[in-house]
Amino acid sequence: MTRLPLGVLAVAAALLLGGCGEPVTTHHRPGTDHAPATASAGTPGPPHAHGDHRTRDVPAAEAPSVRLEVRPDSDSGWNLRLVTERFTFTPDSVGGAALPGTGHAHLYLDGKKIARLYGPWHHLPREAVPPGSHTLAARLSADDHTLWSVAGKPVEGTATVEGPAPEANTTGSATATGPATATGPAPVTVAVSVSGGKVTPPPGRVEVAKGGRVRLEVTGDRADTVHVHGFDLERPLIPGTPLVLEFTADRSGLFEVETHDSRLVLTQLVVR
Amino acid sequence: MLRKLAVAALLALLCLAQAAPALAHEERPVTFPDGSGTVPVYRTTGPELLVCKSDRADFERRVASFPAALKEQNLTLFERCQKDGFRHLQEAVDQVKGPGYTIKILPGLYQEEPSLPEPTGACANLQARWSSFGYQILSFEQQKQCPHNQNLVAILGIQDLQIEGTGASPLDVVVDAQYRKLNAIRADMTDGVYFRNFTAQRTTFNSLYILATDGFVIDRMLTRWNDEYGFLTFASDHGLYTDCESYGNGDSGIYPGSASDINAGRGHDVPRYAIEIRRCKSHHNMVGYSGTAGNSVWAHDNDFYDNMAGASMDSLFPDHPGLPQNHALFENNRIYDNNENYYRHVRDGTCAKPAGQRGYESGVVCPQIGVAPGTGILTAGGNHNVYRGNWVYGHDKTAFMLLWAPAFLRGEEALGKQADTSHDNFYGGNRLGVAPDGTVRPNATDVFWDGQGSRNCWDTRAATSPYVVPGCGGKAGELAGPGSHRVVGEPAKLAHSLVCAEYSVTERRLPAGCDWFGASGLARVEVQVTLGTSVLLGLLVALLWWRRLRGAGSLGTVSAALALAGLALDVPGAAQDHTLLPAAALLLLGAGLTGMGLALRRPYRFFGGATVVFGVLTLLDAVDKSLMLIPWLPLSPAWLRVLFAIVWVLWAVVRLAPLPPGSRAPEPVAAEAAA
Repeated sequence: MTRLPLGVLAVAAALLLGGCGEPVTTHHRPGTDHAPATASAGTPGPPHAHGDHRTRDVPAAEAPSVRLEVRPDSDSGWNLRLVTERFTFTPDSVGGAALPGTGHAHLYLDGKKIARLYGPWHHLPREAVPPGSHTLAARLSADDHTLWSVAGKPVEGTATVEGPAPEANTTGSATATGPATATGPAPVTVAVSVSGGKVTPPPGRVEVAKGGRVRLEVTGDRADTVHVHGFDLERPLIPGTPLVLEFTADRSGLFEVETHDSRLVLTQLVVR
Repeated sequence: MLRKLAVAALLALLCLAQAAPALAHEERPVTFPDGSGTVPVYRTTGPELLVCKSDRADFERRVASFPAALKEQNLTLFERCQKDGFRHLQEAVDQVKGPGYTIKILPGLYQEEPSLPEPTGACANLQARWSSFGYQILSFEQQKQCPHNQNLVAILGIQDLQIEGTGASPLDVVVDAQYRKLNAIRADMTDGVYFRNFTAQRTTFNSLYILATDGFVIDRMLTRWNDEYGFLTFASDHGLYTDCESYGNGDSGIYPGSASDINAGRGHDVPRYAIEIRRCKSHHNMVGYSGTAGNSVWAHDNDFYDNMAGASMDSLFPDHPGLPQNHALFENNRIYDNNENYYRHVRDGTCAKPAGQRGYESGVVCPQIGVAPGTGILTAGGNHNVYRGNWVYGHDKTAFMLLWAPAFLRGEEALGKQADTSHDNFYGGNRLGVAPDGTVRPNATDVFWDGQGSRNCWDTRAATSPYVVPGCGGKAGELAGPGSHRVVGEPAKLAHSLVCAEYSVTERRLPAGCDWFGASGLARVEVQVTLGTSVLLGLLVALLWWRRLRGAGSLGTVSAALALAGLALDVPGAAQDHTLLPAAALLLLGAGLTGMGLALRRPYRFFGGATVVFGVLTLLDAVDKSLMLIPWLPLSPAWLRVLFAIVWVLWAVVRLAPLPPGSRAPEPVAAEAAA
């Protein structure tokens, strides 16, 4: 009976193979390489070459890169994603020396810095973007706030974002805003309330582009019927419950929106 | 754990004996200061030098949100500094003409550019030994000759120097070595040095290194992201760490190594401590605090959390003055949730990259040694340490670990010294498994001890490994019972330590059998060794029954069945010695072997007797693992079993050998004599 159990053989083999001939301690071996870092942190550019921040040039082959992706948020605004290569976000060491491939990002809207980003995701609120088309840019920055650059040009990723549709030209003060989306026109929203025979805000004209969407939100203190002339839309108004009417303004002209029973003009739509 | 374990242990010990153990920290030979110094006191008077950068806009931005008075003070200092100040800390240090100077560093980032270039000329060709760590062991004179071979800022032989940041917090003044030097700041033979209110970071060894100094203070300092240590104070006396913080270090945040051995030879009554550490935070390191020869350190009111282990002290390395480690006092510390496991960064190759690319700033830690993740306080060879009144909670492995560190590991070969550590350690009156706010946060176990050492005691709430440990009396030095007196650790735990010690970050070697690196179930070395042993013994028991006991009555059959059941139960019990499972297994095995021995006495009087002895030793082991650690024994019942089993297994093999052709079944008793 001279068989050695497998487990014991394994232990003995491990000790023989791995242990003999070099230190076997229950503590410190030589450990990680303690060689000093030699990687270059690039060449700082002239002061204030790009806004408040200097650039820091590195060879193209070693330079970090960034791509900026923009997608509408399901609730409001946009979600931005920075897809980087050769780059790590290091929020905890901000303010320290520039180390290759580390740092944070700066976000610019039409060239104006609007945020510092410490990670690949950022939520851009709807209010941050004025109506119309705009350019977003993300630049990668070192811990010391110099911008990583190649041949003097900051490493950056850009994307276009469409702000909320231009505010409709309203007479009176009916609100006309649209939810933010990355593309496509937003519906023109008109909110009106009727109380004690009085319309708030006072009736005015709302301009709508032909083919655009219109959203009416009407609240009243008594039962009535809302009628949109020209589009032949009639809907009952229930006291206390907002009535929402949404339609495409596919005819040009001036159209009144009124209540049947109380004969109040709620607003006028100018479609052209 | 029988013959095989002994063989494995022997092999390992042979290997150990051949090799020169590595150091935790290699340095020129140093001796303790004479202890005539004092802890320095913060000064507001005396000659003053200023250090600042020249970018006014940058400076104004940095101080913009300071409280008005501090902002005003800094703006005034900035004006003065532009006229007669320095742009680099080293330049100011070089202008110190005598003791009592203060250097004020204004808010800014200090990269110490003049110190960065690679050494040239004579400094590139110093005659000095290269350590296994990859750097030269320079003498003090060589450090003076070439201060920036290894150090970003070198303070050499200057007395009573005070260096302070003038910002609102330590992060307002950052000395950044960018992983281009071993040490960010080296204070070598600088009695009375006082560091206050700034940050030192990113080195390939230590951020702040104080060596051979009598009298130092580390006050409101932050260190982080080092291959080894945040604060390293070595061979020093009259030291105070207060309100400091350290994180992101591959060894420890705070390392009072080889603190002056002023209490060697004393009992628990001591006149003073060499180094006091209070109100410091150390987190996200391999260990929060480590103390190879961390002698006479008084650590109190600190927070050590979210490390792999909260604190450790040991006697594992040669050439550390003051070994073996003794007289650390840990009081009222909060040591909790030390459950990080950074070995994944070794496994996936992250730690093999150059220091600057490992991602320390993003939370990567490269553990330099093997430690058990989920441990509160680890002591590997130390005497007269007192741990009392601490909150220790939320650990996935254990609150307190105590392991044998035989003296040859620290280079002492004398046989009489091999068991000279792990004595008189007092773990009494701690608040275990509960947070200061009263939340219950249990530790998986309260104790993991290999059983070696005398007069150690614990007050516990949760399970312990071994199942019973000696309880404490009212104060340090007092035990609730007789204690235990063993000179070697339990065999299973010794095998475990030997396997786990095979860890190497350099070679990316994570021993497969060690639970610290993820082994579980059958993969664990304890379970494998037990399985192997159980298979071997089971085979012998079965063969003895088949060949010698089968027809000889029910005692032999029932006993063999009991023994086999015990051997089977021992396998799952191997990894759970904080439960009664191993004791139950031993009880069955012991009863079975005793019964078999009695049954075997008829054909083989002596072998049968030996089997009874084996059974009784096994029962004794069961008592040791369930009721009380049997006092006064220099070797545990488990070791006695291992040693006896070697003889028994060989004997059993002889007894099982086929009888010579022609012979009949053995005559009772006579056969024994003939054999």
